[in-house]
Amino acid sequence: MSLIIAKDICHVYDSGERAYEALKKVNMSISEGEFVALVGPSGSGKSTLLSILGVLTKASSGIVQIDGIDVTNLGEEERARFRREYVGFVFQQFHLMPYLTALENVMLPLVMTSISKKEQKEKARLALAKVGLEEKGHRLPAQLSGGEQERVAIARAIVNEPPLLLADEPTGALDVANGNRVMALLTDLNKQGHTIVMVTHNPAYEPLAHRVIRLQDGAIVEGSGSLTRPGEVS
Amino acid sequence: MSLFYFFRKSIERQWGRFLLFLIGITIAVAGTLSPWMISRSMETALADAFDLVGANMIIAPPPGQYDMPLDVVESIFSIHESKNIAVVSPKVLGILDAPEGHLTIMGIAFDEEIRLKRWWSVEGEWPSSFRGDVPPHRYNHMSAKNLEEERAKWQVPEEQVLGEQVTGQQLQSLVLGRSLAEDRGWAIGEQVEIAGYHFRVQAILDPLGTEEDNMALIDIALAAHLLERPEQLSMIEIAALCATCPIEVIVSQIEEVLPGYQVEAVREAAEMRQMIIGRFTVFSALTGFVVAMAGIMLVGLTAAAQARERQWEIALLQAIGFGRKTVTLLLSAQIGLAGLLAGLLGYSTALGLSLVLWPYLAPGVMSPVTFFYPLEGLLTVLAASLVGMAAGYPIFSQTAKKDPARLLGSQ
Ligand SMILES: Nc1ncnc2c1ncn2[C@@H]1O[C@H](COP(=O)(O)OP(=O)(O)OP(=O)(O)O)[C@@H](O)[C@H]1O
Ligand SMILES: [Mg+2]
Repeated sequence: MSLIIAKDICHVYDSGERAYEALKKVNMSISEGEFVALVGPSGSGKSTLLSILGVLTKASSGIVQIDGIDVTNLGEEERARFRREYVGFVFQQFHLMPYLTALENVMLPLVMTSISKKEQKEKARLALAKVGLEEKGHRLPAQLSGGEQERVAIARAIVNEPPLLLADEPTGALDVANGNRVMALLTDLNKQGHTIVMVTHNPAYEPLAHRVIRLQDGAIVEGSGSLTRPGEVS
Repeated sequence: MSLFYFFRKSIERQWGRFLLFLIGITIAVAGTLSPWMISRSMETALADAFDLVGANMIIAPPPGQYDMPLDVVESIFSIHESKNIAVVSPKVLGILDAPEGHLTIMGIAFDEEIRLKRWWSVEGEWPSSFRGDVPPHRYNHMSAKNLEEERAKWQVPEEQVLGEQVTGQQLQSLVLGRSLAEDRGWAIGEQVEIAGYHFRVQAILDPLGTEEDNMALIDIALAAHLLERPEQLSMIEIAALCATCPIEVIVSQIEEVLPGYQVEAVREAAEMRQMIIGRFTVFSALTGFVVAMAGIMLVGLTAAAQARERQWEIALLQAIGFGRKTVTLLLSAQIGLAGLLAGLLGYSTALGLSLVLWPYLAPGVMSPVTFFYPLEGLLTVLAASLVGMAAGYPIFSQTAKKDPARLLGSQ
């Protein structure tokens, strides 16, 4: 069953006098439980596509369906709620609030929910445990290594137990050892049921994914997925 | 974790940055306000100083009468705005026989008169009041209770009144108008006998071009006695501090306690004062405006810089499911709170600065000045907060409208 279906996604960046077409009629589908690697040269539109799939960026045109919900025409607040419930983001630059401890950073996505404080803490501890950092919850980001910070960021992304995990070059800022550790973690999370779309520049990680989607100049040149495959119902 | 906790930690764990922001706004507010506070107080002081140069009110007996009782002075001090009355100088006028012909006598309270006529200059030494040990200022605050006591001191001692004891008496002070002194050929230090009393010429007024040039000035109590009009006054000149209370108000209040009396504002003085103070007020309002604009700019810029620094936080909060409005409000509220605090700090700093700098900037100013106006303080604090929010909000809300992915991207 498809978790994500994207139809005819176009995205135009309109910066002043010149408009730039970052995505040109992208069609794809991603099944529940899949681990997809999104690759392609710099500027090919990977981050843009990821952001659109995560309902963070609104595509200029086209339709995005996630878990059967058409998110294309959701209002601003609904999109925020949708992200809260369905999507966890992981960025290359960890983007942890420098004034919150690791545990508090992980709790942040729960602030907007109705979960009790005690339960918030419990969930955050669990997420930290999943990334192997249960001991370091009290530390501020500045007191953590880069690899640890990225793992805190992953814990924050999964604390709400979202079906979809979107990672934009999660190993980009890490050395090989830490990168491998993060990849192992993502593979593990995928096995636990999270559908993962990950942007990567490292070809070594491509085999870890079930499927590689290759972008070039804003169009998919390889692995668009099951949308056009016979037998798949969209 | 609640929103407030998040909010608190962002200040607590980044107090260095917060402090910088606080100091920025504090300096903006204090730098704006203290010159304004000082210039406003200068204005008041200037107005008061101006009021002290000459009388701005004259009181004369009801039409048809020549005298009024001493109690009138007490009535003047009974008005509601009595705290704004700076000098009350009563006078008695009359003609006396003297060896070389008639003399126009003006009985004055020496201390009060010279406080009123600061521009007078004399050759010799201006006498102090006849009342000896009574400090001059007490006269100004004569209450009903001590009026009797005061009056007793005004009485000429018996032995001086009796002609036989003239030789043993102390010499009375005499101040002469310039023309009179020249006519009679009297010089400083000379002893003159008037109506059986011995006077010493203490001072001679420099030419004034007014009636005083031809007058002999002696103590009011002695004059009243010599003129045989005990405890009677011909007129009273008053200088009031009108910076905080218009002269018309004082005039009408005096008219109320002294019905029938002629109470007149000295129009030239009032008009001149109005003109000078008015100019100064326009000037200080203008500087106030310019300086307020500068302050708003500074507070705005500081807030804007802070807002820009936190753009990525907006994007991140959005990415993890905070609504655009929530994020904008959350961060604006933080700046607003900081503005509130900084406004408070800034206003206190401005107050402190004004108090400390005042003696250096306005040396010798006697009139009491007020720097603290609660409403102004409240407005400042609110303004700092609102300006901060107003400057931060558009940046936050614009940032929130931008594609968050852009702010979180790898570049
Ligand atoms: N806000 C923007 N305004 C204008 N052009 C933009 C904007 N954001 C991205 N672009 C352009 O859109 C294209 C796709 O950008 P995107 O960030 O998706 O590329 P990417 O594949 O993630 O690249 P990289 O591997 O370097 O991260 C690029 O050419 C980029 O310059
Ligand atoms: Mg990218």
